Formats: sequence, structure tokens, C-alpha cells
Amino acid sequence: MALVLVVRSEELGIGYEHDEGVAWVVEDLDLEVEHGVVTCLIGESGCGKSTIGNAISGLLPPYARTYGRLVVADRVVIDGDKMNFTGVRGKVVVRIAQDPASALNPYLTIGEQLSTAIRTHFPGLSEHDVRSKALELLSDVMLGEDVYDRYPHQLSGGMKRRAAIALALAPEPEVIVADEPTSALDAYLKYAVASLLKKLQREWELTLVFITHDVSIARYICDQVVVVYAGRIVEEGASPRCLESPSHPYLELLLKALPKRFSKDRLADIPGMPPRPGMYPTGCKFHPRCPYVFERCRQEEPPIIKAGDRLVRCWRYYEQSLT
Amino acid sequence: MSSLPLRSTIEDITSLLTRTWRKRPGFRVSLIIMIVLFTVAALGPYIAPYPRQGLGVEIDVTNALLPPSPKHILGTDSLGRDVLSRVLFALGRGLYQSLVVVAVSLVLGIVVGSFTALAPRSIEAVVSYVIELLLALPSILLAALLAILLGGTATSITVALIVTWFPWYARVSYLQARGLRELDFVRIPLYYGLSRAYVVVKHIGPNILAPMIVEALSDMGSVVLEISSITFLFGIGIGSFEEPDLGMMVANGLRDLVRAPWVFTAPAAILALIAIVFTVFGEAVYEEHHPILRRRWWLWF
Amino acid sequence: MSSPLLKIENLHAFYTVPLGGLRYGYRKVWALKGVNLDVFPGTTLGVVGGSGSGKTSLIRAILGFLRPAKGRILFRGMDISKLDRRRRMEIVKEIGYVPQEPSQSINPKMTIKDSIAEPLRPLGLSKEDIEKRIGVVMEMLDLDRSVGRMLARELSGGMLQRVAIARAIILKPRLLLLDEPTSFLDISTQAQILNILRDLKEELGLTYVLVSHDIDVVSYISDRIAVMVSGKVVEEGVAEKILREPLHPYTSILLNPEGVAREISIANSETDLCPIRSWCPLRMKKCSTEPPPAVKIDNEERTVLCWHYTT
Repeated sequence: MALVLVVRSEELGIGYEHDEGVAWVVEDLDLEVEHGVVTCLIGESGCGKSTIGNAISGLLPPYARTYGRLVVADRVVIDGDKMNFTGVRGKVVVRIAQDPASALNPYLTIGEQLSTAIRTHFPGLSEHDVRSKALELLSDVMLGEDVYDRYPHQLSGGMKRRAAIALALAPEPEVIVADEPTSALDAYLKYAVASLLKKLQREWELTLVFITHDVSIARYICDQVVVVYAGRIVEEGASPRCLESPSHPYLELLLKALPKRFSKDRLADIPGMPPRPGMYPTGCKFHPRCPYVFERCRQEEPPIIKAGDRLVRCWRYYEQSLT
Repeated sequence: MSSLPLRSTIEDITSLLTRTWRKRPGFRVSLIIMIVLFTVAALGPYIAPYPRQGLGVEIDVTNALLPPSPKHILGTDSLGRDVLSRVLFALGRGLYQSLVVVAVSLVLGIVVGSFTALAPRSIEAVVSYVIELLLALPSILLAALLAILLGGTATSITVALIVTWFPWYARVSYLQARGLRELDFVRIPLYYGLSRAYVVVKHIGPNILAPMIVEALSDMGSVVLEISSITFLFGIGIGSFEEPDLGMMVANGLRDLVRAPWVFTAPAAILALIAIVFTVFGEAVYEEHHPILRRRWWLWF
Repeated sequence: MSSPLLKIENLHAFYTVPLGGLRYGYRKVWALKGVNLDVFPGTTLGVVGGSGSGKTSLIRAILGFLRPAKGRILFRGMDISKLDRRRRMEIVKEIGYVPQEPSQSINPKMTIKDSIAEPLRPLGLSKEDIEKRIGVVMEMLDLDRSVGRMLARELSGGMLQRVAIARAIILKPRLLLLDEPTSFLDISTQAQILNILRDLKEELGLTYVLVSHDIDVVSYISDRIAVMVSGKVVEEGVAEKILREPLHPYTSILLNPEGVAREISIANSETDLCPIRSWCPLRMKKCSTEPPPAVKIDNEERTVLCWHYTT
């Protein structure tokens, strides 16, 4: 299969306007997502991963400011400071929020909600076709036909979540952006949601952008790993392998800070806190917390460097890349 | 050390006001007019051309119902008193009265509301019912009743309005305090054996003060109107016919509306101005404060 | 072995919730349905479970926020749910509490110093004494002196959680109840807090009850682990053994959630029957008729609530 880029950003910057100016959350982002892969955006809170997700799904608030370009499914949605998501948002790209069940209207049956969505996106379908399409969607998310005539309150939490995912799939999107869909769930439910998304992604040949802070879920679901720190990509790999053998110091420390089941070794202390948007340090954004810091890191921001099977934004790999 | 929380509340309020100032032209206009109104009200007794007439201790029947002239800029009323002086005195009293009503109701409401939220269940239920009962009471009738009991003075109106206004604040602060009482920073001091009074003063009060002040700011206009409508309808609350009061003046002016419209127009215009300005001010602050309408850019990460 | 510092016997507790809809009235929702636990001095008991398993209710019951309907909570042999006020205040000094969400446990309108010193207030200590003790705990938690004058809203979640721990240990308690102390924090801050907790335990000889939904967090500092489902402890034993060889099917799923990858139901009904009987791989006929017994295995070292292990 030819390499088809579904999402491509070129030096994309996103910031939010506030009383004193613009806080740039994401800066100089070059992100490429191929068709039919699961890309995980991993990062801690405030690193800008949700902002990237909102930009791809066209859900930036009106006071967001941008520069650079963002192309989603061959359509330029962000060009400089202009945004145009018409025809993309909710059609080509859909977003699944942390609590997808909140997208359901409690006063309409699941069937009514699904068929309304189908009719909106596929005008001209006969009533019979709309119904059979809705039932198909339900079976795709492993819900029975009886759910069609039920109201949301008659479903369990897990069923509601799946019904809401079916609703999100009604426009037959190409890209799904799932923003922390597993974060408030119990361990076994996390994997249930993740495996359902993975199954849908495979069956529908979708591109899934999965935003999470949970490394174990990322390891379970993703093809491509993108680690975000202070609004930029610090490490990117085409396989979950970089979660086993990290290159960037940030990812390395992050993985060492996770408690391991059978080891009582002291967890890594990453000193300090992630910088807040608008207050990013000069040079490498991780240098104030980095154990390997040297002079160059403080002065100059490293470019993204190809190191082996992945891309890393760290001066330590610069020499290596020249040879 | 304890001044810091208070300072943070003041900071909250001032930052809210400056933000509203920057964003809302209506707020700017109304705030300026409010400041002018308050200044005029404060200076009223000193700048009034006929202070004794304004106060109502002197009448001049020979000059009754004169049209506006350089001598009496807004004319005179049926007892020959200078309308401008009357309005200046009445404005001060009205604003002062409504400030007292709002401030006392606010403090009383916060205290009652937050103690109710922490009280044992039976007391909580009883006080909530009493608050609701008071809310159902029409302030005008209560004012009439109190006027009979206390004698028709301005105090009876103030008391009547406080009795009917504070339940609103009590209810709002009760609901807010009820949300707070489930939080750990309220539960932990109680766990360590600190008193309810301590928790109300240190934890609940400071956390509901700022939103309650916003609530109160948007209510000032209604209080002025309510006071005036009581005096307009009943003429009570005034020790004697002579005392200056906007509602009363409107009522009296109405009788000579055809012969001398200026007697009615001046106090009515001032009342309308107060009502509009206070409402615009209050609405702007309230909308700006309301979290749903606020731009919270940091929530988008 | 020494006698337990905290002993929980057959603890039952419920919440009242409105019936909902247009009906008036309340119904009982049982949060704890017969919990038995022993916590020995100087050890950490980790309590793991999903949402609605009753693990937070357990902490709330020990603190007295939730009144036990049946059963006893014994601290140093005294039933703390039935003490008069004066005796209770003595006990309270020995049990510290670190709540779940730091932003809700520290008053945003109070200085950090006042928040930390709050438990000292009823004691009537002198000003210098209070200052000294604040200084000691702040140093223990690596909190800078200047932080004391700040307000809670100026601090990040990790800093606030340190403040909450400082407040919990200022009375020099023997037992610390930790309710999901890291679930609202990022990975890097979580590691900082877990390291601090481990150091404090050594330094002060504390006993912990740590509640969490994350079994890896629990395993990092626990000596024993109790697994809770729907108001009951289904498995309890030495941490190492439970992690290596889980006996109860629910524990296996907690340890290896990616192996399930489908939604399983936990029966949260009022019956005493096994909550996972609908999908349990080890299920027997008895499971749907009789409540499971507590089976002691490994020389009484381990308890499993399951019919499968009765012989």
C-alpha cells in the first residue's frame, strides 16, 4: 500500500489568546500520521497533547491563534492564522471525548439518535437503509439490535459508551481522535475500550489518534508513538518499541518514574515540573530537568534528529546523526 | 497572617471588575454614572440650594408649583419646596438605605446559610423551611405590617427589606456551603475537633464571599426600586409627609402631573436612571463572573 | 506476630441516596458489606479495587465520616466508632488522613502554613511551638519556607499533595490513611510523592493504609494487599505472593487487565453472593445460591473469598 498521509502538520503553532497576549501551547509541530495506523500522543497534563487533538478534529476554540499549516485528509484546515474546518470537522474527523456517553441525548432512543446522524450525513437514503445502517453500526460496537429502541438510561455505563462510539462513527469518518478515552476507567475497562477502538480501527481501516498519559495503554494499542513535551514532539517512533528502549531523556525518566510490579527500586525523581504554556524555557525545553544537560542544551533548541528507528529532539543524538 | 485570604477576595473582586471594565462598554458607562450618582448623593446636603426645604422642615406655600426657573432649577412642588433640593436629599437617603439593606442582608445571609449547611440534619431542615417561608413573604406587605408595629419610619422599611432579602442570600450561600461541606478541607478540621464557627469563618466564608458579593452587586438596583415602590404605594416609612423620598415624591407629583409635570418628572427620571444603571452594572458583572460564559483558555489542554 | 494496630471486624456501612425520579424517599446503598482487615504496626496495607468497590468508604468509615451500621473498627484495641468526644480527640491525633484530590483538601483561600498547622489548633500550643513544628514537617517534605506564605491556588497538584501530607503528619500520628494519594497527579509527580511516602514511613515508623485503583502503585509501597470488590475484601495476603500468584479471579484480572479486553460486569446488588459469579472462570453451582466463604490458605497467611478454594 502506498504511503498516504492523513494528517500532516508543517511548523504548526497553536496558542490561546488571554488577557496579556497569546500563550503558545504548541510550537513548530511537524506531525505526520499515515492512513490506517494508530498514533498515540503521550504526554503529561499541560503538555499540549489535547490541543493537538483539538486542532486535528477542528475543535479549537474561537480564541485560539495559529501559525504554520495543518492538512487533514488533503484539505488544508489551518493555513497561517486562518482556520477552516468546514467539511472536515464531524465528517472526516470525529472526536471521542473522555466521557463519550455525555454525547447521548437522554430523551431520544439510541436508534433515533443514530438515524438522525445517518440521515444528516447521507441524505437520500431510504428509511429502510437508514435503519439497517444503524443496526450495522450497533453490531460493530458489539451491541444487540434491542438497543436500537432503548433510551440511554436503560443502558449500562459500558453500553452507553459503546453506543456513543457508534454515534461518532455514523458519518463514516476517516480519522478518529480519541482524547483520553480511558483515563477515568477501571483497569479492565480501559482495555475493553482500547480494544474496541482498535477493532473498529482495523475493520473500518481508520486512522486513530489516541491521546493518553497512560503508557501501558499506549503500549497495548499503538503503532506509532509520539511523545509530547512542552508543546513539541520530543520522540517519535514507528512502533511501541521506543516505550521499551527510550532515547529522549524525558521519556527515559518518565518510564523509570512508573512503578513496576515486581521491583521495589526507587522511582526516578524528575526534578521540577513541566513548564506552563507561555513560560517555556529557552534552548531545549527539557533542559532544566534533564540529568544529561550540557551547555548547548541551554542555548539552542535541538532540531528533531533521526536516530536509528526513530526521531528524537535531543542534542545527544546530533553527533551520531552526522556520521 | 489572616489578612491574606481577605486580600485575595478583594483581589478576586477587583480583577473581576477590571476585566468587566475592559470588555463591556455598558459596564463602563453604568459605573461612571454610578460614581456620579454616589458623589452627588454624598454632596447633596451641601450643594442643595434650599437645604431646609430639601429636608422638609420648611415650606413656602406662596411659591407652590412654580415651573423651572433660574431660582428653582427644577421648579417647586405643591408645598412650594425646591424640587432639586428634594431630589438631592432623597437620592442620598435612597442609596444609603439600599446599601444598608444589601450589606446587612449579605452578612446575615452568609452567616445563616453557612451555619445551616453545617448544622445537624434536623436543624438544617427547619432553617431551610423557615428561609423558604420568608422567601414567599411579599416585602411590601411585611413593610406595611412593620410600619404598623414600629411606627412608619425609614427603619421599618429597612428592616422589612432585610427580612425579605436576606433569605435569598442565605439560600444561595447555603447551597454553596452545602457543596463545600463535602470537600475535604471542610471535613478535616471538623475531624480534628475544630468548631463549626471556626470552619465557617475560616473555610466556608472566604470561599463563598466573592461570589456572594457579585450576587449582591447585581441586586442593588432592585433594592432601590423596591424601597421606592413601597413608599410610592403606601407612603409609609416616612415619619412625616415632609421627609424626602423618591417613591413618595413620585406619588405626590402624580397628583399634579397635568398642572406641574416637573414635580413628577425629576424624581421619576432619577429612579429610572438608578434602576437602569444598577441593572446594567449588575448584569455585566454577573455575566462576566459566570463560569460558563467565561473564556477559560487554560481548560483546553 | 504483634497485635494489630488497626483491626476491622465485619464492618458494614451504607449511604442513603434519593430514590430519584418523582418518587420521594431514600434507599440504602451498601458500600461495605462485611470487611475484615488487620493492619500491623509499621506495615503498609494496600487496598486495591475498581470504582464502587468501597475502598474509599472504608477510609471514610475509619475516619468517622461514615457511620458503621454493623461491625467494629478497633484502633489499639478500642472501638473508635463508639468513643465519647474527649477520648476520640485522643485517637484522632494518632490517625492522619491524606485525601484524594489535593485541590479539594486544601482551602484555596488560606495560607499553606495555616492549612498545615490546622490540626494543632485545638491543642492550644504556643506560637513558637507551632512555628517550630510547621518548620519540621515542611522540611521533611522538601517544602520551601516561602511556600508557607502562599495560597493553595498558587501551587501545583504535586506541591499541594505534599502540603496535605505535611498536615497529616504534623500531629505525629501512628497510622496514616492514604486515599488515592496520586490518582490526580502526573507520572513524574506521582513518583515524587510515592518516594516521599516511602521515606517518611522509614523515618517516622508510620503505618499506612493505602487505597488505590492502580495495583502497581500499591505494590510499590505495600507489605500486604487487600483486593476489594463491591464492598467486600475478596483476597488479602502478603503483597509479593498476591502479585506473583493471584488466587481470586478478580485479582488476576486486576493484575492482567489486557488479558480480558472486554467489559465484565461486577454485580453490585444487595445480595451477599459472589459479585463476579456471572463470568467467573472458576464458578461452581454453589456460587449463585450461597455467599462465598472466607478461605484461609498458606498457614492462615492469606484469605480468599471464593468457593473454589474450599476443599
